[in-house]
Amino acid sequence: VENVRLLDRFSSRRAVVGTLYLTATHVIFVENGSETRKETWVLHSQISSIEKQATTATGCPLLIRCKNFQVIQLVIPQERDCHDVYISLIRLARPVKYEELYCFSFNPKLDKEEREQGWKLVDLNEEYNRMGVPNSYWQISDVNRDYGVCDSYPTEVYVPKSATAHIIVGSSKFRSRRRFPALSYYCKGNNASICRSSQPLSGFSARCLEDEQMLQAIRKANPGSDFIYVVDTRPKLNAMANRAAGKGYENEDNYSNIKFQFIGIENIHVMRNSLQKMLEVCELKSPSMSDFLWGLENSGWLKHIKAIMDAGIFIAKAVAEEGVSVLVHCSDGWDRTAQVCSVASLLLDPYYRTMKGFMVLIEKDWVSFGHKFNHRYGNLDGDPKEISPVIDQFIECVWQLMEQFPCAFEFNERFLIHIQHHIYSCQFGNFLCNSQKERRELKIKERTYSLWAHLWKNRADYLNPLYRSDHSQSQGTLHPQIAPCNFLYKFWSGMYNRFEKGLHPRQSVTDYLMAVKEETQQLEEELEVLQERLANLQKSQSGNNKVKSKQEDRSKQFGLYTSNNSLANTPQEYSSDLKSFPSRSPSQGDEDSALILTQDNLKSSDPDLSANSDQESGVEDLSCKSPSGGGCLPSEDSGKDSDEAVFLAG
Amino acid sequence: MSGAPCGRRPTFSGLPGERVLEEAAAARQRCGNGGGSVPGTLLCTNRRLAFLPGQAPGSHGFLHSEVEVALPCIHKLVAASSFSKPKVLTATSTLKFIPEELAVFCRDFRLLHFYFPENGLAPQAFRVANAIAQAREAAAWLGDTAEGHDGWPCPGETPPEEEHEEEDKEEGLSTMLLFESLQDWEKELQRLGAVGWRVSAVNERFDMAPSLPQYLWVPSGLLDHDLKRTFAHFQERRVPRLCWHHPGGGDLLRAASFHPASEPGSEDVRCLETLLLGDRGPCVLANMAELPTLADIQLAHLRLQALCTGAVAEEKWLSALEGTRWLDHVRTCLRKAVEVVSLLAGKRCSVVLQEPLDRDLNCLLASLVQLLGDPHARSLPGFQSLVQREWVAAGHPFPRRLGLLHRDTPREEAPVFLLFLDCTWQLLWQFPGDFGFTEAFLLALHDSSFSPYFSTFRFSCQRQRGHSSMSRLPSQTYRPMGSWQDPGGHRRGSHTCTFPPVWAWGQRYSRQQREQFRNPMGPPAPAESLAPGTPGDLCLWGGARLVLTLAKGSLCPHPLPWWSHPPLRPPHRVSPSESQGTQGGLLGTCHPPPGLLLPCTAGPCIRLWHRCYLRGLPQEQQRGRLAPSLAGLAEELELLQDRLHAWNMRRPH
Repeated sequence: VENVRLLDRFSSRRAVVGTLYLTATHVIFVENGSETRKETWVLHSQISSIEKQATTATGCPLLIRCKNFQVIQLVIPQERDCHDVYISLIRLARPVKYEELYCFSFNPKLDKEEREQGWKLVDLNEEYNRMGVPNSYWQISDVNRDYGVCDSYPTEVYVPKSATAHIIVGSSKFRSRRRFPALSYYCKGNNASICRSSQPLSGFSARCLEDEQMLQAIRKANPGSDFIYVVDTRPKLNAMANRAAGKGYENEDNYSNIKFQFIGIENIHVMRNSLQKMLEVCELKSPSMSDFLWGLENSGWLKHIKAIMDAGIFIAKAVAEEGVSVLVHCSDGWDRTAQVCSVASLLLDPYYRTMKGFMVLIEKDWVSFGHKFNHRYGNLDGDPKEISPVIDQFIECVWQLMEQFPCAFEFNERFLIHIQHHIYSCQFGNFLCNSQKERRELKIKERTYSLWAHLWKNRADYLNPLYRSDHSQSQGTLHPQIAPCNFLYKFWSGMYNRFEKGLHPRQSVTDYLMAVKEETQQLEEELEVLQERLANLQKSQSGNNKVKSKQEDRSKQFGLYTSNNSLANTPQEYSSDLKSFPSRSPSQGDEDSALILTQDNLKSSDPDLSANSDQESGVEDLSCKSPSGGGCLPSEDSGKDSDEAVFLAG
Repeated sequence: MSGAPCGRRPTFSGLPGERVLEEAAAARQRCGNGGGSVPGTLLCTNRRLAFLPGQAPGSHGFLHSEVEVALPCIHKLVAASSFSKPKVLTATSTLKFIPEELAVFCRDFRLLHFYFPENGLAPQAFRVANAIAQAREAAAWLGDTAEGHDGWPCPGETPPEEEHEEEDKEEGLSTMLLFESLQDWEKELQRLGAVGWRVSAVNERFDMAPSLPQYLWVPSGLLDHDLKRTFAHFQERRVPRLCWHHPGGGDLLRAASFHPASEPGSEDVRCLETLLLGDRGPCVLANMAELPTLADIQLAHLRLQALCTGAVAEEKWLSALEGTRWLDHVRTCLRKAVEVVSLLAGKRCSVVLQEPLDRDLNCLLASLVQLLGDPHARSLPGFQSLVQREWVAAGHPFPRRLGLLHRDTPREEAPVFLLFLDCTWQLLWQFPGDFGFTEAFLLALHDSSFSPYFSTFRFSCQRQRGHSSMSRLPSQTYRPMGSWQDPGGHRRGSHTCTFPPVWAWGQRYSRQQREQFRNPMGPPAPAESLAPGTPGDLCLWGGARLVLTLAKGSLCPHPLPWWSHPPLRPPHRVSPSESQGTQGGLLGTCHPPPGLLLPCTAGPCIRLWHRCYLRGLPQEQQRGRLAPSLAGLAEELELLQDRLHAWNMRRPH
């Protein structure tokens, strides 16, 4: 369709005219006129709703809302065209069969081996081994082989050693959708664990001996403690209501040694509506201060995020500080339970705060334990009531933690945003279907590609420049604020307004730091090469034969050097500023901690770099640069330096 | 050090004339949330409350301490004990019990907690708490008249000498302009490249307009003789004068509103129009009608203070924040500044900021516009010069607005300057790379505005400052002009007490701390010369004599008060269209020229200045103004030790 106008939310003036194309997989809008011919591509699977608005004098407006929070407003001159586009988009955005999804046609030009390699990047067996299981308390159970006990669980499940197949099967019959208690996270240090399940079918009075034995077995797998926490992540009222349907929650009297705890996280319907309300605020044309603040508060979104965080913090505390194992469930144990277990794991284990670890975490707590990706994110046309931003909330929790602990995560905001994007995009096979069983039946691994391999390949884009593996935030348990303070949880405009470029700060400190860091690294490499050459030269100079020619050579090098230095002024200014700061807190804020980081980089990797930072100022300085090099210990390089100076003087 | 009788503790160096009234050794200051605390001595002097950490390694520097509060800065003092209800202390209601804990709520949003372990020191705690309460009341507040600072006994000493070795290194002071001398005005006008303007010394004796600075930038075509005719037609005789000249041609002027009783004769009208319009193209009068009033600002600030130091129900935080209206005011000011700067840069017309008395919001707007439009103003010395010119020299009544006056009616209080600092912080947050200074600098300036030790904020105008004392910088970068010494002046010769300007950071902050004021990346290189704006559609109708007003983002023609009839038939109403939220339509559709900042002013883009306003909350205290937290220090230490260890390992091979 030609002569379509793409409107900018902030001013109708800046509308651009272009051509709209519909392909089998994408909506593509190509701008006319401008030399660059800017293109906007939207995957059909990203479209969440299409709205045809009343025709105006200029044409027929079409509003497309995407699942990644992009809102596209088009004006199509002919109403007929608009209607056609509308009808075809409705059909294209709601595929009925998995085979229609983009991942089955997406081909990144990798051969079979590379594809397999990609799927092997995240290996859950390896992950359980890393955690320290199987061991004398936990073992892998084959009871769910062929999905015989629970079709939404993975085939390989870790259970306490003392839990026999009889107990597991018995327990599974007493749990909603037969999702029996299974290991989610094991803490090597103190044997405490996080297990997950669905709600018990206790009704008002029902009991199940095997289920009681199962919980006892979990308790026994942690010899250091004489009870376990059972955390029901639902509000108490919801759990009580379930009792009438023959479900409900554990009765403390029937189970020996459990402590029962409700944590009120609302259900998927409340969350869906809350997000809806918040997005309405995001879509306001020019929100005033009060529109925004009131709207945000009334949506309750941040309150829900806090509830999830609180649950995760509670569990992490129980495991890390009290050394008590925790069993987590909600109703079916695939939404709130997944959120809470993964937040707790993230707080407990620094591994999950690395890029690879985060992929593993999602694979473990979400993909393998049967989070219903297809239903929740509407990949195939289905019941709109099943759709809810469950994993979006988890991703936001991670972001909120990143804001509080800027040095703790190896990855950056962009990483989270891209994961969120691909959960909806269906470009990769990872998040298809509702369970492992369905994925195996569809032969996902043979027919599609893995997102993790794609992200891993581009990992340089997702690095957090502030991350240091030796920082205290990168080790041990994270302790987020628990004191009531509201301003802790912030609106994530990077996510919900990510396509409104006008709303973002124009400059990103983080990107700048990343550039500086890269530049530093390049310089270091160059330095190394040059030093090697210098060493070689010196070696041959010992013969003292061809002084003159070498001198020329050396001065050539030197010229190269200075030019590099002037190019990269900034990192060196950083480092020299820093020398005078023996006592800066890395937790003070982005910039400050970044400074220290750069300093680290300079100091730890190569002692010569900081010493050489004076070179720019001229040859004369070289002889005395080592002592003025600040944080550098006058070790082996002082000898080298004076050699250099002598050499240059000669 | 000075002869002040405070030499008992070698580490405490007082101000000239400062006396220690009471002290409690072995007090502890609570730090952060985790129950950590620092032992030290709590002192109450006739000027301030100070806490000297016990193990501080010789904390020299004469005002330097993170934990010190000027008495006027204390907002509320609360004593608590396990046996009794917390009690708010004032001079009249003194303590009846021995306090275990003392909470000091500061007006700069700090909240300090001290407590006294019970090892026999309780009487000291009692005495110190009462002394603070008394001293706070008795502390001499600033007088607003020339003779008003009697309360500050000045023994006639020179400022402390110890800083001299560092002074020459003081960045900013050597390069900034104080606008107290003719040279400064000349120099700055030259930098702006404002042809057609000159410095006039017509107000050198403050006889034309007492609250205006001595030197004014006026059109070259207007003789002093003619200029004198215009003063009477403006409130407080504050005539229009140039603030800033956009390299593309637009001029920014500021003035008080027209005097209601003035009826200029024809000769006066000629002078007035030369001053206002010149032949510079269309002129836009920007009044302050949309901006918050002084009362609004004060109310919002009080509410914000209550919100940030008190407890609010968790779910209600955002609406409570909204209820303070503070962020709304910040947003309004920014939006107005964006409109004005868009006019200057995009339409090449001159803008006259007009506020009834030209001493409050005009200061704010004039400086904000320059921050947006002038890269120089975003460097550290440039920013200091800007504050010095648009606030200090322009006669912003700091003592009244900041509530540093004792007897004045509280109605006069309105932290316009703090609102400006918040606006600046918003810009800093949106464009971190464009500024030469950091948040730490803004915080230091914010806090300094409450402490009455600086000449900068002690006076309401240049005239008053000249009358009461001469401020002299130790660095001698500034020498008062010999030429204007008024023989009739009330200066007190050797008995005047000299206060440093706030810009003498070296006297309060260590070199390390001052390093944090500067953006490590440095301000960007000055942009290539700005392209001149297009004369645009405005010129088409009316040429030089077009006068418009800017209201609610749109322009409409407006006669000057002495025009009996509009000179032209009212042209079409100029509506700069959708100037919604972001960059006003005033700039047109083109891309913003380099060097011009156009911040986003939609609701979600305005943030709360956490590090400033939420410092009082225990969970935020670890992010103090400059001080690293204990945890941070410990961590840093560990890191350094590790590294040392690693080095030692490497060395032998």
